[in-house]
Amino acid sequence: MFVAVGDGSAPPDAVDPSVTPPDASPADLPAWIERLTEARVIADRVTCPDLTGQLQSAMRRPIDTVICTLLPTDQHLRLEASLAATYSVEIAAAVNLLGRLTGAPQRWIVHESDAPPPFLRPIRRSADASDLRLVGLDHDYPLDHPVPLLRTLLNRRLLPGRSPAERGVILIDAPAAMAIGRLALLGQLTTSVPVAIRDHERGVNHHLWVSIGTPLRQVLAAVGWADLSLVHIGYPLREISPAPDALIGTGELVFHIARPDPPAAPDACIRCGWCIDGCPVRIHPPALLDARQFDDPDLAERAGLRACIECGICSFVCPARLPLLQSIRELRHRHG
Amino acid sequence: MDDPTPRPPEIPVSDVGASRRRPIQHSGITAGRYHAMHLPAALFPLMAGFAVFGWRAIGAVAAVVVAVVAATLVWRRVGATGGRMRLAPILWSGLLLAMALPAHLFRAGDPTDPGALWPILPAAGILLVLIIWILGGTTVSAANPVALTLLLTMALFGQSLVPRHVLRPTKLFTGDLLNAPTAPDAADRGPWVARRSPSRFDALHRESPAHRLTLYTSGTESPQRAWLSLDGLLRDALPPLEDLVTAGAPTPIGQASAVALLVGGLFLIYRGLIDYRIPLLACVVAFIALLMLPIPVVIRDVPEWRWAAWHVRGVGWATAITFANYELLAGPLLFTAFFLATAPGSRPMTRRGRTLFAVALGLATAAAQLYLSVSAGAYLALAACAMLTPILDRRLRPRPLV
Repeated sequence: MFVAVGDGSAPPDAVDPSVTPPDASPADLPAWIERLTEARVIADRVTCPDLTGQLQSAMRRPIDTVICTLLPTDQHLRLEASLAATYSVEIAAAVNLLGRLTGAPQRWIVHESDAPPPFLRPIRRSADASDLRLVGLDHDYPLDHPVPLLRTLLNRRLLPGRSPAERGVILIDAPAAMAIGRLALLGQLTTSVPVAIRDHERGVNHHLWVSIGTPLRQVLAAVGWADLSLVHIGYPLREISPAPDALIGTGELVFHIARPDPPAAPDACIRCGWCIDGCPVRIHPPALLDARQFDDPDLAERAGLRACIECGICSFVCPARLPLLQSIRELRHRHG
Repeated sequence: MDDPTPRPPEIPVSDVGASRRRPIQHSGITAGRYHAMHLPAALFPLMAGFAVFGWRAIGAVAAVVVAVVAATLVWRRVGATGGRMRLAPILWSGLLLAMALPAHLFRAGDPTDPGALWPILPAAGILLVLIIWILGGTTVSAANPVALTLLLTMALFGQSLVPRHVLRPTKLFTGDLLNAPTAPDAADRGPWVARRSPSRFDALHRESPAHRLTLYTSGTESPQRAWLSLDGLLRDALPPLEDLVTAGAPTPIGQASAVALLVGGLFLIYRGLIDYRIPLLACVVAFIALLMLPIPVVIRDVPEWRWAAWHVRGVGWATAITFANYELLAGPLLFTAFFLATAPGSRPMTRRGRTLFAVALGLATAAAQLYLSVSAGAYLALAACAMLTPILDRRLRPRPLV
């Protein structure tokens, strides 16, 4: 069950399936964008990149697919599936609404093919009632990222950092869909968001309902920790640490608490090739490391710097403990 | 009735304050562990070799490995290059080297005695370490150190390295490989598994199929009768093919059984340590090349060479395919394709590069085995094709998905 953190942050009750969703057409899109912004239904995270920007792009480009992804950032937490199990009516309503606003004929909800049935049954019922398509995928990290997700589902190429709307897709996740759905069905503003925390040190998971604007420190204290340096934003392989003044809001909603791995001195590259074989977008991490060492932007471009989604798999598998992800980020910082 | 709200999966609470066991941002694999993961794959061909070549095979492997370890401990102190030497990958290379040497080298005697061959074993081990040091101290270089060591050793000691003995099936593991007749016995021909009759010898003296094939395909064979056909060679002069597949032909230690090599190679593929493309394509391409390249279909006064022997009258598909099978199994191609060509330094890092590399290796191996030496052909081919690796790595980058 979700635990409330912060004032006015109790988990909302699920909407009754009998509530009628509003009519909508593409002509209503600008008004709905404004309405979503006023209701603080804003999201900008890996699984729902710049929601407002996507909808604004939809005013200029044709959209043929609306996708709500229930693929978990972490399969031990399954935040998205938990929301889908409880708020399936809202999620289905959101997907349908966005489909009508953008004129998208394809409206999909993507889930793990091996998700436990209690998670899938409610959303399957709602999807069937709303004539939405459920798509099951064999989920493996980082399939939740838009780049491999669009490639897998639609065989479309999306550069990292670009909006899925450029490829004719509106991509949202379960928290965003839930917020959109509640606004559409009940006119309810979003004042709190679901947060999932995996505490590796104590071996427990926490599912929280947190008021928007709550400092991350306060959330951490609610689960019994004070040290922000233990927190990893999103999947730990991405190696993203929070800022000291981080707030819960439109960004990532999945956190990991774990002591940093002990530093290890890198060895020389042993050319095992595991980084290349493991890369989901098929770039050349060793060449990017060389490009960083020799400050060679041409080599970086040829090695696929632009395509890197910074999943961290290359660093994870490297037997020589080479700082591959760190080098890629430094390259991007220097050469854009 | 609505389903109850499903609870997210809970992991049981461990003791408060208990530290996390595994790193979460790294798999925990180290370079040493990476190389150590290869070792179980060698167990299968080694066990087969120990079985059919006995305690001398164990001694030979031990002699090489001990020499490699000792030499490494010494050379690690030599210069900055020595500081880069790591025991795990060098030990693995030493084991591969030992697997490519024959067991009869483990033979006691005064080093000045021409019959005493045991100094070759530690010498090969020391030579391997020396070559690794020269190549920069790591086993990750385009010039495969094991292949180079084997080629040098073969060049220096030639006929001494040709295996001629194999234990009888009734003397596996325990027999003395050198307790054998001084010449091949016509009564000992036929499948190895059938050699179970009592004998005062522990081992059989048999001609190395690699050596015999080399004589024939290089055109240096002198027929005992008026002529020797390809069909006659396969039928009369070579051991049954099953002896190469299961065990029973005189070979280097680690190449006693093609089945054991395959199992070891599949183990490496299963563990994700090697790319299946290299052994698969190298063997397939070599097989096709062996069917197509010119070979002597009959030797009279001079050999009669023909391309694509399978379409020559009197040869046919069956003979041609059998010949190709003998070439594949009598030489070290399987061993090279699974264990040497897949070494990180020898093969390209990209999929396309590995594909091209494997095709080139297959073609070069077939040509080298046919026209130079069956025993050394695969090593020569690897030494040559490995030089393409840096070029393939530079020219063939992976194609990003976006």
